[in-house]
Amino acid sequence: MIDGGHVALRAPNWVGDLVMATPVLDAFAADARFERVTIVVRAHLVPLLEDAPWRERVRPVAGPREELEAYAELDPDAAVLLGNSFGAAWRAFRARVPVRAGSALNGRRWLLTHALVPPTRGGRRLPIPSAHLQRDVAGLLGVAVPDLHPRLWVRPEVERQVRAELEAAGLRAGERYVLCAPGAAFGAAKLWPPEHFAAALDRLHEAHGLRALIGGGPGEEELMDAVARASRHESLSLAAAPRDLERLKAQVKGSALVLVGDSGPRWVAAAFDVPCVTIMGPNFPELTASSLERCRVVRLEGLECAPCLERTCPLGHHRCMRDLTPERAVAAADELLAAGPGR
Amino acid sequence: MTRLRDGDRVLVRAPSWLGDFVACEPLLRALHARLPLHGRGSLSIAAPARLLALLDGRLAGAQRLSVGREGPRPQAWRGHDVALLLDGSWRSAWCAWRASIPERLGSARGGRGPLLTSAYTPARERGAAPVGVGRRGRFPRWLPRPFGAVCAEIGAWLGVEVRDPRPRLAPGDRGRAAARARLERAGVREGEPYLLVNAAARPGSAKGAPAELLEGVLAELARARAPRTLLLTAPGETETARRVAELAPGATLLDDPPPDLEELVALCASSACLLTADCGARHVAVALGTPAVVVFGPTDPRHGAEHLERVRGLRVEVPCGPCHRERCPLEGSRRHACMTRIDPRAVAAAALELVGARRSDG
Repeated sequence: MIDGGHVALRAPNWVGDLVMATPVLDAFAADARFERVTIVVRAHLVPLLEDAPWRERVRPVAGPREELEAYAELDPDAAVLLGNSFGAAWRAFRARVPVRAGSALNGRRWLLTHALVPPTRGGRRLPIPSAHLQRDVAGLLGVAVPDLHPRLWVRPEVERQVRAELEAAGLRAGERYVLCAPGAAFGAAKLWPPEHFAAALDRLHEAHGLRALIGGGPGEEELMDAVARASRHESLSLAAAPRDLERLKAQVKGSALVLVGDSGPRWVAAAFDVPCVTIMGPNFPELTASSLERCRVVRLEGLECAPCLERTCPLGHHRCMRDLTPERAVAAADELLAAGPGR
Repeated sequence: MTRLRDGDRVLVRAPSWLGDFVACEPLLRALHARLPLHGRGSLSIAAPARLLALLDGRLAGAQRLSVGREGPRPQAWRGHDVALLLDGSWRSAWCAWRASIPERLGSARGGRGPLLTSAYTPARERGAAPVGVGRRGRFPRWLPRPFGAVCAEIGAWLGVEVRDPRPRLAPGDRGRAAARARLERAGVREGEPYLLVNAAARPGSAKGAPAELLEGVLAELARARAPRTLLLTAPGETETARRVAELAPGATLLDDPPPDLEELVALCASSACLLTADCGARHVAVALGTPAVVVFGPTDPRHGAEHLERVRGLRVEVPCGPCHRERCPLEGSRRHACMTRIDPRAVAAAALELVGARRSDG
């Protein structure tokens, strides 16, 4: 029995997919049919959900074993799988959650009680936005998601603290900045060369007076410094500064523009309506074709090998990224900035 | 899928249903923005003339191809490079094939696959009946999805970004003038708020709200001293509205003659709230930013589950639904239970809540 029951939402493991899923989390939390809603999420992603109105419903799990333990402890009536991994479905099945809803991808159809098959052509899956897929999964439990605009929350004191940290690191008072996140957790194939990032940042500084702020996740320090070194103007690398997802939210929210690869900060920018230029290489643009109101996806059309979805370029030339010129990114940024601030 | 190229001459067969036509408007706008309509490139939109009128004054340079009752004619479609068939009809696919359009994209439903060069199979659902739904759909169990989202996905496959997924409509001059004249005849002063209740329904249609439900809603609204209520009808769909008007004399019936589509848009744009069954009018309200209360009967609410910020949907779970039948085949207490069991007080309360929210929005 779902009505009056306990629903466990298994959130995706990627930053971007988790931000995309926030409208679904919101809709479940607001649905009065459920007595209890728990959001099961990887512990390292929890700072992203800080300050959400349903924050107390978040149950962090460190890994697969803890996820199984969480199911055993929570004893939910239903598990809603908002990611597409086989492991998440397998663990819900092993935990004997009575209702298991999700996409029938990655061979997990038989593990699910309620499933959906995305559109196909010639028997092969056609790419559709992950946000659409997550909304369709919510529909399997009778939950209507009012809109797909991602949403995140950050407290004013965190914003003030982060601004103070940035100013202590060299940002001038009141100075507008472009936040650049050159890394990508997915793999090297998604990386735009640092000199391209640097050239784009230089032109944004010259044309719009935006100071370059270069951030990134753990392990991306070398890349961040490489972009800073290649830049002709005085950019600010955050490689040595404290960095986490909660700070990232405040940094994005305070920025005039976000310049990013095809990675999580793009979706943080969408949540705060901050203009964003995203550089896409080996991915299908169709998979992320939502929340495009203030986002421009810059990619090279016409390459026979793209999109390959590989983590490293299998051909070694990495043309999808190398041949993508900084001018394209700057033109997209010019268009967004001319349209005015998002907020 | 083939991506659109600059210089492509694109024909879009837009749906013939009002709701779907409105839902595909963002894709039409995105195609218009994407295609350089100079030199060789062109955009043609084929649909019934009454729906094409909703695009009057917009999408400059795009050609309109009216589709009559007898369906599209291949001669009119010749000379295009790409046919994007957003409707589900077999005849459209056949027409595009007969017109020798080299690229023909559309859903493979209804046996159209062999006529298309890029046929996609829509999403399906598997496993148990979804929660809150009384029964599984019939094989192959197409997944009920919002049509606007499907259009955005098709656009992405073609390399066209739908950056603003919300449908947008605006009343035209002719519709505005007709609506103003009608409101004056009905005694509605300029700026006076009014509730629009869509009582238009084909005779016997299970999709329409029954007169008894609407009567109950109107009685509740009258008790709560709601703004004036206007009863909407459509050509050939006045039977229910007349019955409701007899049962609830406080409401003003707009049937002399029933408003056409352009006037409907204008009436809806200036109303405080639209109360309707799950039909095209609700999509018009969404596209205008007008709050709407929607009562769902035999239809699956997932078909319209997008842009719901100003929409309140009401439905009851019944073991026989959603059946998507034109007429309810059951008798006795189970007849049309999907509609008759909806509580009129809840419908009226939802309408009053939205009207209150709109007033506080200014």
